[in-house]
Amino acid sequence: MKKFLRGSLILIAMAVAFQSCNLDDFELDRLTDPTGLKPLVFAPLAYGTYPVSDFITLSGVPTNPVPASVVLNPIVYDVQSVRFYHAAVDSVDLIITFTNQMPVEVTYNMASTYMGIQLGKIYSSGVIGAGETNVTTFKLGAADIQNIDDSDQLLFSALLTVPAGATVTEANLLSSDFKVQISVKGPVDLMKIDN
Amino acid sequence: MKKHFIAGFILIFAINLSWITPLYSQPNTLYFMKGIPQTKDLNPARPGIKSGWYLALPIFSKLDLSANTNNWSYNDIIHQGAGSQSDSLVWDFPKFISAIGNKNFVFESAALTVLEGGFKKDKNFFSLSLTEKEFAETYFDQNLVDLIYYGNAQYVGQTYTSGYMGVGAQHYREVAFTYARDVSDALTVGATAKLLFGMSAIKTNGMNLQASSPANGEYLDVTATGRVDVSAPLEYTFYNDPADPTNSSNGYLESVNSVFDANNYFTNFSNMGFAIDLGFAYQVNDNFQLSVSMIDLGTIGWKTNTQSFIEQGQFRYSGVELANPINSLPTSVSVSDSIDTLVDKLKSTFRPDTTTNGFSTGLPTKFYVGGDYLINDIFSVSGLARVRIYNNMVHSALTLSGNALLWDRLTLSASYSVMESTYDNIGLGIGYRGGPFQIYAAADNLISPFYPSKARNMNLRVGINLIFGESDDDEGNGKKGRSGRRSGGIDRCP
Repeated sequence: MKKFLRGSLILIAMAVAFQSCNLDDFELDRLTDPTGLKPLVFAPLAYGTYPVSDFITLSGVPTNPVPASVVLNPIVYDVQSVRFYHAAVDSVDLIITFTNQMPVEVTYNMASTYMGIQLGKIYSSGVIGAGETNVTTFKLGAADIQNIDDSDQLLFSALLTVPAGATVTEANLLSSDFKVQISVKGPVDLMKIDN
Repeated sequence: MKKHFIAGFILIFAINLSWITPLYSQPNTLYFMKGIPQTKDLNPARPGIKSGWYLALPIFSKLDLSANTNNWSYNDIIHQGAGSQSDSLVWDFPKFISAIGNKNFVFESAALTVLEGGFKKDKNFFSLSLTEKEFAETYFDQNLVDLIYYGNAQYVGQTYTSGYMGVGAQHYREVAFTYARDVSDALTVGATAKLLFGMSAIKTNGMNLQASSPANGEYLDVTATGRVDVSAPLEYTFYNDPADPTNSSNGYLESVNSVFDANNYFTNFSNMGFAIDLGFAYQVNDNFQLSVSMIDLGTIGWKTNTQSFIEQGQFRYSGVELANPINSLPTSVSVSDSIDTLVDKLKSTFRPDTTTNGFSTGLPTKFYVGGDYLINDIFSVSGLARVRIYNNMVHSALTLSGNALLWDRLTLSASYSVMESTYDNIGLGIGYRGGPFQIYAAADNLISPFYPSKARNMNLRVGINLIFGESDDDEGNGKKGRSGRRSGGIDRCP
């Protein structure tokens, strides 16, 4: 029995020795906030397809030329109560794919407003040649994202222009449309999303 | 808060690694230890007792603890900072990503045997035990980590698949009856029949997230599949609006509450299962023994407190549809309304089907192939290969050990193991016997307890026995023993 107790004491001593391990790395009070956890996120944001003929008063005569220029009034997006988590985003590529399937040039710009007052800069302006597909990237910095977050409206407008020296008839427009596709790409700090 | 939640999860795993709380799985080092009756847990044909009977200490007969990963550790994601952060712990996601493999897991298990006894008479060995067991495993593919860390932008124009992810956990009670017989002078065969009573379980199956998009990012096609089966004392509340049967929130899981009652939980015998261990040991010659076993081939049928969630949804996300600003210019479009519409659609698309039908789970099945070569009466060298199969995944380990019996009462085994691509596993088994009392312990990695934050593999077996009986190797020649095959009978062992 004595020998058993002696052996048991040896084993217990070994067990105590095993417990004499370094647990410093588990003192989570010393753990700093994660940094560098910023996945590069891509997401489609919005899309729309518009027949140009919707914006032009047509005579119904296919051979008649269309006006030299048509203003596509701003599309206004109400963004009140929508958070953009600007704290979690340092920069964003706002990617706009503007497909022009008609023989007119398209000029476009974007702005954000609060109570009708423009915030920050107007992101202007791109020109898409007739029949081209254009991908434009608006580089938005932290201040721009803050502006969008503070906005109550986002405005997107376009100007349709008949190319210089060209004549566009109504026949060209009857089945023509243009397509807008807006996507966003940017690093998102996951640890700040719920701030 | 989020930081502490994540860190807490990792800490739980880390604490498990540090022997502070019970974990389990039998160390390979135990397999060839001499004179320990519980070697039959790894091969029922190797009961480690030659004659007489033994009784394990009631309530604390034996304890098995284990945790391991596929070659990554706590320090691969959290470690001491440097420079101005030398007093802090810092996250290191790049190191974690470089440390993990394509397929990753964290596995832990624990078992406490509260009652065990057995005896051997002539050629036959019998034992009976009652054990509480639990294990849990989380597994994930590197693709999932890459998605979280790098984001989805890199996959535009491709198809992303999360692959290989899920969880599995079970708590069950095992009543095991072992029978082994010396068929001939050279061959012993053994089997253990295990009656299982499930307490709680969670199992996932086919969990996968797939996303694809064209090169211009026009849309994202998202497909989510998978099934989650749960049997636990939980109460589920699903949203239901009878006044609006078309409400997209109908059927959504609102809350989960515990309805745990200890009496009901621990006396639940409705989730029955069965498992079997098989093994043999063959004495090739006076010095060499070959042994093979299969442990825990079985299943549990879960019938009480069951709830299953089955997901099979596909959704194309193109963003918010922009209105046509015709007629009344300028047109104002509410983005929040559009988002609400989108969320409703997502809810209806990805709302899992539910059922309370029962389900079944398998056990982590282990296969052992061992060879033991006797150098002299007190020392042998051994090799053991172990393969564990669970959730269609195979985990392997190889152990080499030297085993000695000193002064007829102290048994020692020193081992080296390669486990899940880790090569730093130096193990030790030790047992001591004084009179009828025997205490023993074994672990496959002695270093890990001292550095739990760096540990990749940890396991421990401890147990206490009362042994009464005689060896069939009274002459002590150490070569013709039966159950232990050679020296190591209970008259000579710790």
